[in-house]
Amino acid sequence: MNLERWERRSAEYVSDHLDLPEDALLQTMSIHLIGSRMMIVENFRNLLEYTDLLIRVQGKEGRLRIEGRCLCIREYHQETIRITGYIRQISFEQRHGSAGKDGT
Amino acid sequence: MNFWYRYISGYVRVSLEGIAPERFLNLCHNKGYAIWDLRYGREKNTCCMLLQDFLQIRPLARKTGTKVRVLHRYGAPFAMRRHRKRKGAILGITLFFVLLYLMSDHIWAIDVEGNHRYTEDTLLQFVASTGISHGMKRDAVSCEELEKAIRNQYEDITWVSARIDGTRLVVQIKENDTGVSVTAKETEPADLVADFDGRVRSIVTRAGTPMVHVGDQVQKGDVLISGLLTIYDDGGGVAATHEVRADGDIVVEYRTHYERQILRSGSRRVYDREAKRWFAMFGGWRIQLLPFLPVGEREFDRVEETGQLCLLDNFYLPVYYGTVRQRFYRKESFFYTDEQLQALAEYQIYADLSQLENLGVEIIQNNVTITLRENDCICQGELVLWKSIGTYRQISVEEHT
Repeated sequence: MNLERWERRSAEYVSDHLDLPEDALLQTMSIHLIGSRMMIVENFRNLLEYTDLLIRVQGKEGRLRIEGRCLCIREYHQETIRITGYIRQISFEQRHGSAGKDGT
Repeated sequence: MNFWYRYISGYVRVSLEGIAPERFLNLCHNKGYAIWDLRYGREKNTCCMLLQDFLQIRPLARKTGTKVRVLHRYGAPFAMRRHRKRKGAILGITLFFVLLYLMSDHIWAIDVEGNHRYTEDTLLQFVASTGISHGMKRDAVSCEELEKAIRNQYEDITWVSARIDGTRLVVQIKENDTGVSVTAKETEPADLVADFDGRVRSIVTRAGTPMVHVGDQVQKGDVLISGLLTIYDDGGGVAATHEVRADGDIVVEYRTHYERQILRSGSRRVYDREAKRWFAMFGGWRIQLLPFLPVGEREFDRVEETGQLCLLDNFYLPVYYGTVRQRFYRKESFFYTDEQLQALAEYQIYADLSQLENLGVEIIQNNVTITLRENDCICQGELVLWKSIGTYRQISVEEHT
């Protein structure tokens, strides 16, 4: 078991048993959705792709795929990214690139 | 706040052209450069960034092969450059902000809240006597010492709070509304003594030993109910003496002379014209929008209403503004007929006696007569009044022995 995996598993264990927020311990992406017009993503690593129809964001655990139209990045800060537009679908991509289950 | 920071720092809207503008954005993100309002275009994306960040992105743009072009410039640095020839305006704006900054360190308004019995002027005069005045530095004001001084000076102010809000010193007080009888020392033994001369009409004793009877004449300072309670034994000797806080209701009757003169003729002011002028004051300077009306031979008085300039909620500045009303009047003589004078005198007596009754005095007999004379009217007579008296004083053993 490599160190990264061990760290993740122990963090999951602590999070489950002590009822602590996972995003703080595991540094996973935290997504706040306000209706279908605004979205705030925290704990992301970088931006993979940006068009007005699709935005892909890289997180520690995987990738986030946001589809819609007239998508615009209102804020692109060190810790948060704020996206506005008509959000149609949010999904997670696995590490190998295939689209995963829908997030919402 | 974010907007003002960006505006003062200056920011640019740039277009990003290249194969992978996302890579350029990620490098900017890793460096900590703020990017906002990123919009997609078919050929090029556009975004905004701070001027200070824009000056450092050249290596990143070269590394990622992104062409960065400035589309628009916004903010104070560009505005100043654009208006650099208007030196007076720039100097004025700079001076304004410098003055604003310097003045924000001083006290420009002192407010008193919660006062009922003490007027604002009285309290402000006391605050001034402690060395606190308009224009002094905020750091030099010690709120704790001011609170202590007010508490020591005014015994019936039960709670004081002084705080500095922006450039305003706010003194909040709470007065003892329930009167002197309810104090922290109200359980201490005390005598009930007369605070007014009169003949005792009724006395009801709840605690202590009554020292006066109905019909007795009492002078100010006489003990009405003693706080010493003596217990006698069967043989008539003193078994014990207890000190209590005397309590009871004592009503005295007294006579007073009432006299008032009302003139039959005289002159009064009739205001017939008014002019309102706006003004502003800063330090010793006063600017008025329009001059006063020419006075000539006419008589007038001036009524001034002043306010203080306040930015936001609590940033008071030493700039005052207001209106001054110039009111012209002519003097008109009047003459009352007998009927008018009689009615006026009756009304005046009624008003005076109502005022007395509001003070808790009961009017038992009213012998006031109205005498109309050639030039005036005299209202005079004796009033018989009942009044509830009694105030507390420490028990003095000498008076009882």
